Amino acid sequence: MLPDFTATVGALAATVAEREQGAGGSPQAARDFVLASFAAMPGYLRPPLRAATLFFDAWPLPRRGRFFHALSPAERRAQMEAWEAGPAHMLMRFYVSLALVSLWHE
Amino acid sequence: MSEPVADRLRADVAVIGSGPGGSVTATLCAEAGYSTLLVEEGPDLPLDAMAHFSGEEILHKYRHAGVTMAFGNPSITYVEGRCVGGGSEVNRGLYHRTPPYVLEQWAGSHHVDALTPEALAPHFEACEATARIAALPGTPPPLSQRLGEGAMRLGWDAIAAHRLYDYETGRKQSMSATFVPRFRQAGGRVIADMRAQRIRRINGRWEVTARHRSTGSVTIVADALFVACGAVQTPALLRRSGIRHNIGDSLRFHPMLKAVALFDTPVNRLGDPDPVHQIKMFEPRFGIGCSISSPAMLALALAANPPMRARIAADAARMGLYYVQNGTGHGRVRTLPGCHDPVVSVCHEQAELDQLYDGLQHLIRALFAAGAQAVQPCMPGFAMLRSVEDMATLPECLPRKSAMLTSVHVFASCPMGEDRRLSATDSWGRIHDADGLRIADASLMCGPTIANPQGSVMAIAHRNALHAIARRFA
Ligand SMILES: Cc1cc2nc3c(=O)[nH]c(=O)nc-3n(C[C@H](O)[C@H](O)[C@H](O)COP(=O)(O)OP(=O)(O)OC[C@H]3O[C@@H](n4cnc5c(N)ncnc54)[C@H](O)[C@@H]3O)c2cc1C
Repeated sequence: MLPDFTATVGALAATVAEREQGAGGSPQAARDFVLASFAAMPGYLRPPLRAATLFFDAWPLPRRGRFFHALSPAERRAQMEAWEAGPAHMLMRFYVSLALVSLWHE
Repeated sequence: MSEPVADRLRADVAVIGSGPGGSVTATLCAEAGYSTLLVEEGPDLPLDAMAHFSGEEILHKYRHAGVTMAFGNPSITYVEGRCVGGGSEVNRGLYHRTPPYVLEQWAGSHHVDALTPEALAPHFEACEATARIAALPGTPPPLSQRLGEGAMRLGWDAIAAHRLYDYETGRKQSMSATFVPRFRQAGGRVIADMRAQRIRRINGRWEVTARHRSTGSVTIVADALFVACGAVQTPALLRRSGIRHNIGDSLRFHPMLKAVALFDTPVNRLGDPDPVHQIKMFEPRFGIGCSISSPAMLALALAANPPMRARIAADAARMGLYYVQNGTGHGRVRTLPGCHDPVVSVCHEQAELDQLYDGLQHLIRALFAAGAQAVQPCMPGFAMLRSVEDMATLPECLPRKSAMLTSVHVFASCPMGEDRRLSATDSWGRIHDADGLRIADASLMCGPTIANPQGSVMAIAHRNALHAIARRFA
């Protein structure tokens, strides 16, 4: 198995959705919104962002033997919160912000 | 998918970009009897094709779905419209004429001829006759009034701004609802979904190489050409085409810091009109105003502040989003070989960042004076404040690393004026030594407009288009 960009975005959106008490949007709509925003981004930003996302998908492999997108919801949430508090906070803020727009739009 | 177009088009005048600058310019050229093409990269969508400030609107009417950034310390996230009508379709239409002191400053710094309030007044009036402006009838929504009350209690002045809005029909006065229909009525042709890639002068005419979504490669040949792609894309197109003198070297913004206030009673009801209060007495150091405070916009602003965000579900009706902005940030627009999108960088003067941070503290004070129970500055690492006294816990100066600056206004990347050391065009938007090639958008401003810019963009485009027509585009 390889890191999977779409599945990672889906897992991040689902984790934000689960945390976001009261937001009416669905995790699937949030994932689609993030992917559509990603597709529209300036061309020079997409490759580094995709590479960073795949890198983070693979991050839990050595310790947990699974990609981020294949972790249980509780493990994903713990991992994401660790990233949010560390050097990956900018990347996380990018994904969280886009997911929030979609989740709270409903 | 849009209708295909011929792969070679001929016109007297071509205008690239259909925002406020391009639409006003194209309308005057068409009405003067010239066959005129108005070329727009984005789609031609009705004004109410999607809900204002919705995710769908962001995906369809914003450039890069709103993900655009000027890289610096701190960076500025900025947004632009990308559809027929440009930014006027997605903006709030808050309206001001250019403040007289700003015009005076530009005329002095860049030696711009005939740029006085008196000389511009007829152009403002002409634009306001088509894209009408109005004061909100009745009382502004509570979210807006609260800012006014807070200001009053502190002895400050607040105003209720006019908007480009028809309150009778409930319709925004965007370009697609005002100038673009007038342009079409005068026989002008709009071609949407077509991006101009390069321009060049050949055999005494202008040739635009463009790419249309359905047709593919298209060549436009025109006797006169206006570039009105907005303050980032205009310098990008010109630089790609080899025109570089003072092009893209002086981009300016109105960066904002935001804060969310939680009040004791509901201030933010579904269906309320847009808030209009602004505190302008501290300008140009900083200006304060109200933002759209839908749950989605609150959540976005609070992305780095989970405790306040957690209250949206229960308390959105008691929450209001407010901003402070000034003119910090000096940007550059550059194109990279083989890269479709320009790269924008920005640097800041410490004094301007300090003024913006001082503005944030003024805003927080005004919100507490208005009765806020809590105020959350929208930045990572900033605690929720429960009283004015809590402001003592704020960092002494704006932490550059965590400052989340956003801007909806960009301008001044190709300033006008007779001083060739600073300006890209003459006083009328004619690029220096470029055979009558003209710029007709926010790029021409000589610095931040301080007030909301659309009125200035339209009036200056109107002034310059009449000047060009009177000289037969020489
Ligand atoms: C969210 C938001 C809120 C705002 N709120 C206000 C407000 O309340 N009041 C106010 O006064 N101002 C506001 N503004 C700013 C205002 O909308 C802009 O100042 C104004 O639209 C600038 O006009 P312009 O003609 O310079 O460029 P734009 O409006 O940016 O138009 C340029 C057009 O050119 C097109 N284009 C670009 N490159 C090409 C190309 N290569 N080929 C073909 N077409 C191209 C773009 O797609 C775009 O449609 C707001 C802006 C935004 C985005």
